Amino acid sequence: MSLLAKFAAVDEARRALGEADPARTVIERLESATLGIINGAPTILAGTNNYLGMTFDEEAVEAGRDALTEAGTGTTGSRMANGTYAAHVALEAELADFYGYPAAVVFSTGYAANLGALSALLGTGDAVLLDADAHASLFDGCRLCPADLYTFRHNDPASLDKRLGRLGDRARNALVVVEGLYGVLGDRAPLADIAAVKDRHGACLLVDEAHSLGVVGAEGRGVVEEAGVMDQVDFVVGTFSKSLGTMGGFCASRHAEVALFPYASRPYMFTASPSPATIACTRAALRTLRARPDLKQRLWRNANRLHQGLSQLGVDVGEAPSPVMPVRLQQREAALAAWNGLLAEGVYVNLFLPPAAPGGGSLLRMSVSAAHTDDQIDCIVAAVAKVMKAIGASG
Amino acid sequence: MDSPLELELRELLGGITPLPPDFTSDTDLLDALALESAQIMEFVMEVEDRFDIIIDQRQLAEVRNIAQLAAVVGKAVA
Repeated sequence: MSLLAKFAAVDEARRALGEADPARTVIERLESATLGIINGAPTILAGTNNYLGMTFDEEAVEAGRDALTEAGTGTTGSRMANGTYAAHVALEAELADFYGYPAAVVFSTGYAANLGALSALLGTGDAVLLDADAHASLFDGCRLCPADLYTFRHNDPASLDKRLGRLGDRARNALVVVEGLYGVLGDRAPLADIAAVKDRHGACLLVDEAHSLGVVGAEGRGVVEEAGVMDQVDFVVGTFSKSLGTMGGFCASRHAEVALFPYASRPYMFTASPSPATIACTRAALRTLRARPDLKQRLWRNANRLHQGLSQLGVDVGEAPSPVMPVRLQQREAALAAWNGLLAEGVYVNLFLPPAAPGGGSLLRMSVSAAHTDDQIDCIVAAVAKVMKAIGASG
Repeated sequence: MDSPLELELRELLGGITPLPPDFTSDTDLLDALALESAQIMEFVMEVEDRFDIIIDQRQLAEVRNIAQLAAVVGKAVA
């Protein structure tokens, strides 16, 4: 029983959340990309990563349906064995073309892409410097490798510069790892400054654009594009599960050696490849992303509308609008009450309790979609106003 | 008797989280302080900047108290 004893504390913490367990919220039915049925009630989905509203994209749905019919339900194997179909290779070529890089590799999830890229790159004697607020998958990927692991202060090029300097000549064997747009607070990495620092020390730079693909940059290529550093960044990783509305991940690079990652990456080798339908939906979604810049414009219009509405309530949502909008609440009980209150008002958001929120405290993470209507955004603002008043908090 | 290095590390840690009155350099950090992972990272970065060193997180896996951390820092400074 000793192996299972640790779960008593988990169970106790879970029970303390009360009847509604945010980690086990069930969306009973989906009405659209932004409306679901939760606890039997229509609920606006303001806590997804469906930034472009792509999950019901007609072309993607049709492509997936066709692939199911033509290629079956799954590949039953690893990319290294029987799990590479022509469509997987085509998607890799299309991603490389999208970034203007020589090659890209497709992984089964975004998590696997981070583990797979990092474990392929980092060996004994190498060093990796990770932004302290980086996603868990990036920490896990670094821990999978024998390289020395260091952290630097979040979004602080000077902190990175000092640490690379302390590495001396070893900096040439160092990989700097950051996110483009951070998925909890919605803030952007100062990529131009970070790229300049890593160049000065001869290091490499990997940017996770999970939350910024299709969301930031003139062509939707992320913060690397917006910051004008596509020819300085060494590796871009990303996921299909947010703006593209499917599943899977990728690593694209200006270095052709990225095509050799599959031979050195256990997270690539030892898992089944994405299903034909998943790949077909992703390819269609990528085509839509490239052909319809209006989706990104609509997303930012909605982000601005929500930011303005919440700011007028006196809620602290930061100075700059972002598709990821955190509402900080220092008290855990207030955050839990607010989360429950919003759900009762028909608005689903994400809840981050300690220690999950960067900088401590608790927060509600709201995310915006291009598919939200003006009415839905206004309903979200009205629900926040009501709930904040009920719990006696304004930010 | 705490070394000057241990005292300095304790002062830095005290800036991250309140230390109990009976805290010593041999107190088990995880048992006594319930530090969150973000606080541990912040503490390590504070230590790195104070001593102008860089500490591999793997080296910290075996560190349970200030005395053991002082040994790691002392080696890096030397």
